[in-house]
Amino acid sequence: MFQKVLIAEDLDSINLAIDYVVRELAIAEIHHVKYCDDAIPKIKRALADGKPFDLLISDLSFKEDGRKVTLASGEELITAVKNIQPELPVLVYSIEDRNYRIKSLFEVQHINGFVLKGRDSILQLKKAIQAIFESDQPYLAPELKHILVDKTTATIEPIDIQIIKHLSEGVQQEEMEQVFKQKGIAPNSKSTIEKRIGKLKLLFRANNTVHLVAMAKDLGLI
Amino acid sequence: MKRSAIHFLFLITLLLGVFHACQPENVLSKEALYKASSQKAIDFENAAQLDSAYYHYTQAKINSPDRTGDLFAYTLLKIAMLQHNKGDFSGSEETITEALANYKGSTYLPYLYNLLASSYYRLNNPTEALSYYQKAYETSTVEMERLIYQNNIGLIHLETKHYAQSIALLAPLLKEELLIANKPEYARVQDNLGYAQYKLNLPDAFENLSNAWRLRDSLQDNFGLTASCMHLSEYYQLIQPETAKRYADLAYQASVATQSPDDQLEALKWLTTHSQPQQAKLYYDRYIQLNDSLTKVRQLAKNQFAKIKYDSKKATQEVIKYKNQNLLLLVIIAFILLVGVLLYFLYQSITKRKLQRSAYETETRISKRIHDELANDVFHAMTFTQTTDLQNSHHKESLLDALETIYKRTRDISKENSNIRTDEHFEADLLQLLNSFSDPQLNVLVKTKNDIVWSKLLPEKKIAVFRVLQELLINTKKHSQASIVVIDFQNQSKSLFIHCFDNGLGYDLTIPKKSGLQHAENRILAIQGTLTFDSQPEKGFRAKLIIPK
Repeated sequence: MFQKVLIAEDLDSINLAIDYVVRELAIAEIHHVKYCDDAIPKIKRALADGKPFDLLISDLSFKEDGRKVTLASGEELITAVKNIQPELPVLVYSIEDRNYRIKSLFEVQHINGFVLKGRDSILQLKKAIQAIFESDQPYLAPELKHILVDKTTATIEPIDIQIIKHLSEGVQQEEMEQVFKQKGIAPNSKSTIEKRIGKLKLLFRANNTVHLVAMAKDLGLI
Repeated sequence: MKRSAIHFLFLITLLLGVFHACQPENVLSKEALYKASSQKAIDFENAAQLDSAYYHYTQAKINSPDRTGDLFAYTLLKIAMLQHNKGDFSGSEETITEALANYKGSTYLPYLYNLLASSYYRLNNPTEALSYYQKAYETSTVEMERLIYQNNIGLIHLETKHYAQSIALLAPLLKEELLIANKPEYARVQDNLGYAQYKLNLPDAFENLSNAWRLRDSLQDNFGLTASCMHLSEYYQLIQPETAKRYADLAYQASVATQSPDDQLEALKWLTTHSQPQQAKLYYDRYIQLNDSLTKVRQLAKNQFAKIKYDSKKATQEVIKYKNQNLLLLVIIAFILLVGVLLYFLYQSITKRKLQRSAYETETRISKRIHDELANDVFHAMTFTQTTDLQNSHHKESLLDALETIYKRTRDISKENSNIRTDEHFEADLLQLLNSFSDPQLNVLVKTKNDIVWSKLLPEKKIAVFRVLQELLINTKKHSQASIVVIDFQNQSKSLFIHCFDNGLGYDLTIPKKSGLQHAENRILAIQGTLTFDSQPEKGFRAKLIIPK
């Protein structure tokens, strides 16, 4: 198990929960900071002493109490830490439940795990720390897993509208490639059109192309 | 009738003669042209062809080599003299003024001053006349001339009815030997003295007047005779009217011989008032004829002068007018700028107020939600803890459930009002926000051509787009029961057009808007955008959002 953990968290009450978990996991050395700015010298010091931290558990939002700070948020702290000790695993423990923010933490800050503060967060924390220790895979609670699934496909592009339009005009999926080529519409390869229709059916939750066309028409897309 | 002397000595002609002798033969040079013109002028003048003389003097003036020298001054003096003798006193005054302005020498100064004084005298300006006669007297170094100027000063006093002063100046002159030798001048002084004495009823008056007349008669000095005869006629006017008339006739004859219209007029006027009716009418007709033509000639000269004056005045006025127009233009521009600046600040302040109001509304909304959704629940949890046995694990679970609800609500309020990154993360954050509304019941589709340049949109506009779409999707999720909602982004030349529509239950627009939608509308108005709703029951809900770029 991890031997030396740094906890960046400004509320003592929540710190208690983490304390409870790390104690239960028998982690020997636990350090606390209440300001992001204080975390950096600690990490540097530990590195210089040859006893670096094994894990950083950080919140995202820190209370502003009038003290002038250079690192105001957890994101900034994580970015700074990754510059000093890139291999240090980071677990974020936050009330932030906006999917896109969580996703961005994994994609931009390359955090190793995320636990949403909530009723069962003590259990979640324990699981997360164990998972990070045991594997390189990022850890996310099962009910949040969908966040990391790529959703960019939920975008409809002009070519999609063209496809639906042609379907509505009675053009068969098999003929589409030929028609598109004649009209100079691109992309027009058979596989692309197939993929796009498949994606559209999924997006509109349509059972078949007729259903898809009907829904698009109802919505006024075509 | 009085006569002043315009006297020039032969010195001038002599000087010119010396000049002639010194000049090398060069027909093309200016000097040669000047010389030729001057000579012709002198010839014509001697032949009493004054118009031709005038023309050649003006030619000489044009060709004069040095405007500050004696020759130029001399030529102008001659021109002025001719003008003066023709009765163009304004012209004469102008010519001399030009000469005085350029002349750097001293030889001709007294003559110029003298002629100028005479012109002022004839222009009924005795004050100026007196002052220039004094200058002529002071600058002259020739004794004879000084005597003549003294006579002229005396004449002005005579004219201004200061007879005693006039006599005091004139009487000593008659004892000057130089003057006694110069008969025409002596006669002039004597005549003027006699006239002054007559005015004061002094005993020597008649003797002086008649002696002067006799002397002038013997000299055939027609200018002088005119004056003498007029003076004698006036003298006899009361005591011997017949004699008075005879002198008036003589004066007229003399004046005709001089070709001087002013003198003729004076004589005719006199004859008209002192003749028999029939005779008088003849004189009167001639007077009118002469006066008319004279007036016409003078008027022409005057008009010419007036025109020059008028033109220059007009030019000055146009300059002023032009300046005024420029000034007016400047004032108008300044005014427009001022109004523009004021309007700009007004617009800024209105926008600011709208944004402030929008911010204020957000604050009150949050406050209301905390009160409605949180305070009540917290109070309920408090009462529950006080009244229930928490050792009971079932009760403890209930309390935890209640607390979790409160916690989630707090998180929702925080989430809906948390900060939005308006930097390069904005587009990704916005797409993730929209996608985050997707769940097994509702699918959020984004329709875009990927041609929207978010970085060019102001931060407050990005925030408005973000919050309004969030509001619309919350609304769709809560009320519509839709399975699909499409958000269509369209990039237009001057605005960003966002069309948000679903396949849900629709919404009866006649019912007052829910606070969330109302709030969204206010946000859009604050950034000068528009938000319109279109919906019918069972036909879905449509919102059209236009954000000015």
